[in-house]
Amino acid sequence: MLLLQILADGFVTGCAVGVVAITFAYVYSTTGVFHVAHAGVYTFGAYVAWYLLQQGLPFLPAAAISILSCAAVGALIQKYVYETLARRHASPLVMLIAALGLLAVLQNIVAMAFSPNILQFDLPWRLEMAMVGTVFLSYPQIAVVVTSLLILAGLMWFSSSTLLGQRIRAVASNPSLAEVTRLRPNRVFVIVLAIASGLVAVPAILTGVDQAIQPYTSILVLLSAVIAVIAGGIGSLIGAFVLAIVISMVLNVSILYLPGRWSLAFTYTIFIAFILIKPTGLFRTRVQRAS
Amino acid sequence: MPGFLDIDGVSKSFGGLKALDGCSFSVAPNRATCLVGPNGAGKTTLFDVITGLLRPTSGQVVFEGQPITRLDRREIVKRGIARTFQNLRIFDELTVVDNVIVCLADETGNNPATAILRPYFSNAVVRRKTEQAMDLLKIVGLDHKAGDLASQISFGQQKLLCVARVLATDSELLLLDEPTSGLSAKALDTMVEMIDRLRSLGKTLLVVEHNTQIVRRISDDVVFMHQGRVLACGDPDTVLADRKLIEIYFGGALGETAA
Amino acid sequence: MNFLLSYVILAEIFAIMSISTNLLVGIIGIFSVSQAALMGIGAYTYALCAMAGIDFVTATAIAVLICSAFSILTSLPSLRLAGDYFVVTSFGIQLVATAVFINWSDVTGGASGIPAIPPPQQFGFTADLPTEFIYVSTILLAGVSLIYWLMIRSTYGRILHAIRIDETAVAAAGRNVLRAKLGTAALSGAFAALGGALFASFLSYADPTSFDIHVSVLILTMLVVGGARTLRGAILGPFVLLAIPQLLTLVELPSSLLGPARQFVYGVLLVLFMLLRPQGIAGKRI
Repeated sequence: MLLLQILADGFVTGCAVGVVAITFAYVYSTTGVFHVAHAGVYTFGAYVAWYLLQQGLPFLPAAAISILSCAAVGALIQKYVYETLARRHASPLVMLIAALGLLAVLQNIVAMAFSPNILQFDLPWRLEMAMVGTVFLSYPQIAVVVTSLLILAGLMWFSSSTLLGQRIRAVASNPSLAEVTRLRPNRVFVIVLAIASGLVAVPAILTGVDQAIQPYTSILVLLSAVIAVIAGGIGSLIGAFVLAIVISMVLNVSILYLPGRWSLAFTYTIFIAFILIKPTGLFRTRVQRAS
Repeated sequence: MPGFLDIDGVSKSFGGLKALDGCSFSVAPNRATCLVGPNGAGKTTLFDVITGLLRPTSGQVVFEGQPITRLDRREIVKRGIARTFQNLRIFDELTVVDNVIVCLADETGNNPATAILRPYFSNAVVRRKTEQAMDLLKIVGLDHKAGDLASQISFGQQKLLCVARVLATDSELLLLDEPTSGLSAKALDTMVEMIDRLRSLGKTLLVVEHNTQIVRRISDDVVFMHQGRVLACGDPDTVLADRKLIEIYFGGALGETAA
Repeated sequence: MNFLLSYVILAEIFAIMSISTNLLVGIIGIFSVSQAALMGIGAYTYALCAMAGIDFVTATAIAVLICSAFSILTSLPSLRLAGDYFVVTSFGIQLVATAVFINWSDVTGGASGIPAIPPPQQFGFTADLPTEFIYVSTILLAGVSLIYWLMIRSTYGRILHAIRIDETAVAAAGRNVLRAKLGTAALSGAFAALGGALFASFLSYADPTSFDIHVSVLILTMLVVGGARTLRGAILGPFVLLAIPQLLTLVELPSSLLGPARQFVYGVLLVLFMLLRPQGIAGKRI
């Protein structure tokens, strides 16, 4: 009974991490940038929504503005940082250091503007519970699951069935060819960053509503997500999403048996070992960038 | 009868794809053997197998009568086989002379203990190896560029640097992967002379080469590969006169140009 | 006076850390973001030894051995995972280490850490005051710099650089890449141990937040701003970066904002340097 509830909570967290994972993977497989600042965008989105609610805006408009502002931040990062670096043929190391810098900038802007402490959303429905089978889920948890699955399905559909999605894949598989055929990779990359950043705001807000928000915890979310991306096999959105759920469930169950933050150490050790044993991941579909 | 280098039924599959399919031929000492065939014939894969970068799915590579198939890359170099790469793989942030020093066969000084505990000796090693490297750079005609960064010299010079690097390993058998591709007419002449020079130094050469004129000019033997198989071995005039092979070769080449 | 001395001592300690990071990130190309974890292991090891009455040199030597071993262990993934992928495991290692520092309270003192760590004591001499401690930190920094310098200028140093640029080509030339990587990791760990031991003995405490992910990023920032791949850059960086908190005190900020403001400035510096001057103040192109 308790175990079932814990697994259900893990599944919910896993869905949220899964969205971070698939959006991160989408950026990485398209632009080749290891976009660790994604965690900063995640933090930023949650705080924007929190701030707008404090200002008296209703939830849905606040969430919508948060999503749009995250998309804008993502687009600006691509346009003014990654694109500039790519134009100067910066090494992957330089790209990565810049991304780390952006992560610190975003997290600490939030920490300075609001506070480095834990904040909670002031929404009456955040504590409402519903019985699903034999487990209890809060309304925000249900929203996390529903939106995450929709985002997964939507992103897969977008990537394979829409013209823009196919164009993005064409650019990803061969940027220099895309340049010749006037697909304009730089513009495509900006769109990709905007989409990924907008989408990542959704689980950021909902998880924040369900639990609380804090400027630095998104690093843990990102780490789980990136481990899921690698363990699931770079290039497989489903693989990343499934692994995100598995990791979150293992993490949750291990809390039953291990005291304190040992469960974190335990879970990451397992998955790092897994990546070492099988660096190509479980669901790897095609050869991908790996410098 | 064991030869100098014997490729004995070597196959290599990647998933379902057979990159090499039962290749067998021998390389005689002090001769230049050219590997020819259309792109995708498996020539570079064969180089990877010989130098231990890839393990063959089946078959054996025998060098001077000893099987080397299971050996580590490093051990294979020590036995006397060195290679260049199609994409050069020069150390672009190091100077030309340092590129050669890194590849010198002599391991003296290549450990932290010597560097830290015997600084004067370590200095002397650097000086001695710099001289050795300069001698090799003179052979390939790059001594005047010794202090330049490898990224700053011309493409033709980078290819010559690759030759100096394989010479540095002191190997008897040199595998050259497309040494003349992408070169200007002048640089091409220099490279062809360079290959003659290597033979006069007593090296055995296995060369991947596309230009049939150059193949005739430099090779004693030709091995023709297609789709992972060896279709023919022999002297250049016979192999390159075979109509069927020419069709495969130029048919393939023309097909590529069209695509 | 003591204020300035403390600044110099801390900068020297972080210069040792920056050189340790340079060996991995700048020279051989293992992108580690877990140097603070190694520093922490060194600090805790030293602290426990020193509290047990072991003298400075022996306690530091024990820390060096343990950190070298851990550094080899944490670098092992780099043999299988290239570039970006390794960063993930390195991130993970850092977070796992922090979790261990916090949770293994019997040994580490948990979140509050270990207080009252004795200062360096050797041959009846105690470096209690900053005026005395500066000799210890300066001598160790000089030693670390000398070792680094001797190694990089040798033929071995050229091989280490070449491994970063193209590992396959180095192996194809018959060099032992594995041994070079693990050896460099061990040396980097040894330097980190010295940094950790000095840190613990100078501040007389060791707690988990002194060795968390933010500190790892700070050390990386020091190296990158000073200039990776060179000794002078690695030493210069910490002096520049540690001056920033002092400058921030000139701005009127509530104390709760000091930490975020500092890290914000570090982040901005990282991005700006990558955009405008990726070689740092005195380094080489990375």
